Amino acid sequence: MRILVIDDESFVREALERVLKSPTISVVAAADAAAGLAALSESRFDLIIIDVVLPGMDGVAAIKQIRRDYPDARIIAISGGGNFGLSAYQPEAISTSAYLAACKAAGADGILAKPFETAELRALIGQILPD
Amino acid sequence: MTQPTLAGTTDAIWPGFVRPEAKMIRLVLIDDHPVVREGICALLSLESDMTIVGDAGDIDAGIELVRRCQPDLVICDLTMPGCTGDIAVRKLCRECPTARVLVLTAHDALECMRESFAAGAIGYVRKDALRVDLLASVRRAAAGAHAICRGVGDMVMRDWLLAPASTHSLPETPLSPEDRRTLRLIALGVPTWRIAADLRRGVKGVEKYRASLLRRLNLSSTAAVAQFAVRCNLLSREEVDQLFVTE
Repeated sequence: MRILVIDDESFVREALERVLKSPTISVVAAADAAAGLAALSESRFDLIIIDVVLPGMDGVAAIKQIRRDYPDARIIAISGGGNFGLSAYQPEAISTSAYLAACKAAGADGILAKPFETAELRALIGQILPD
Repeated sequence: MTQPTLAGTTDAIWPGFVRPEAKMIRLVLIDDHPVVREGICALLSLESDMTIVGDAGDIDAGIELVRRCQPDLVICDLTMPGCTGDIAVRKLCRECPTARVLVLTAHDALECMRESFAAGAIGYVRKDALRVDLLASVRRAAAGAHAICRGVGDMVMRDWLLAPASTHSLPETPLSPEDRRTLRLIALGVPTWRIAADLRRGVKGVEKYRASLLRRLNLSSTAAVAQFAVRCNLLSREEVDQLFVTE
């Protein structure tokens, strides 16, 4: 399985790579939507995990483009409400709910508020990619 | 099997009870961040009693939209393009004086809250508030009641409790029982014609009396009267709760 992670926070990219990587799963990380879209144009991915607040094109716009160009793509949107750093994430905040609702409307298959536990992410991936 | 009673029909158990039809709340959203606008629209559209009739990315387009759509409530960010050095709610309330405006912002300074209410806002919700706070505030504000989120309520309460004791006492200018009664009613948002009826006086006379009273106490807005009334203990605890409800 190939997973593409698009997040501008390096510690999130590194953490997701660390927990998801296995002998059967490879992870490619991109720091913004443009780099993520470039990676998508070069190779196929089974799952895309994408943040909302990104430099340049935001995650919602990127999801719309991915949905248009790759209709079969499986997408999980993640957001902490636009507040950077673990201590400032507000999973229950209006901004987080709003961003994730926009992602869902844009075509995300799953949404997850930061911070989330590895088990929650694995469970969501299991729902979206049952095989 | 008996079918559930539909809204608007007489109930079999409570013959006199007719559930009021739920009114759809028509909303306009003004925010210069497209992703925030899209997100808030998506969030509110999930509610069965709310509909977004339009959204705008700057204050001038927002004013046009409000004039055209006449929504029940406008949700507006505090700082916007087209309002250099000023808050958007002031321009919006000046241009659309009958609009009910709920400020939805990341700004959490007390001064921003004071200015917003003084400019005519009916509510103030921070973007880091809970989703349920926003939904409750939208419903209250659309119905014409003041609404703030928990975080704002906590800040206002803390500020009020920590204010110097002297500001809590009555002013040196003596207030007559009629002054106190009138200030209480103004603070509660009671219209002048009803105050006149309450005081058993003519509307024009009460208008003059009200203007002179507010001038004497240097109070320039209903929000300032409300603050004065709270500080001078002119309101009961229930009335203070009504004034600024924290959902």
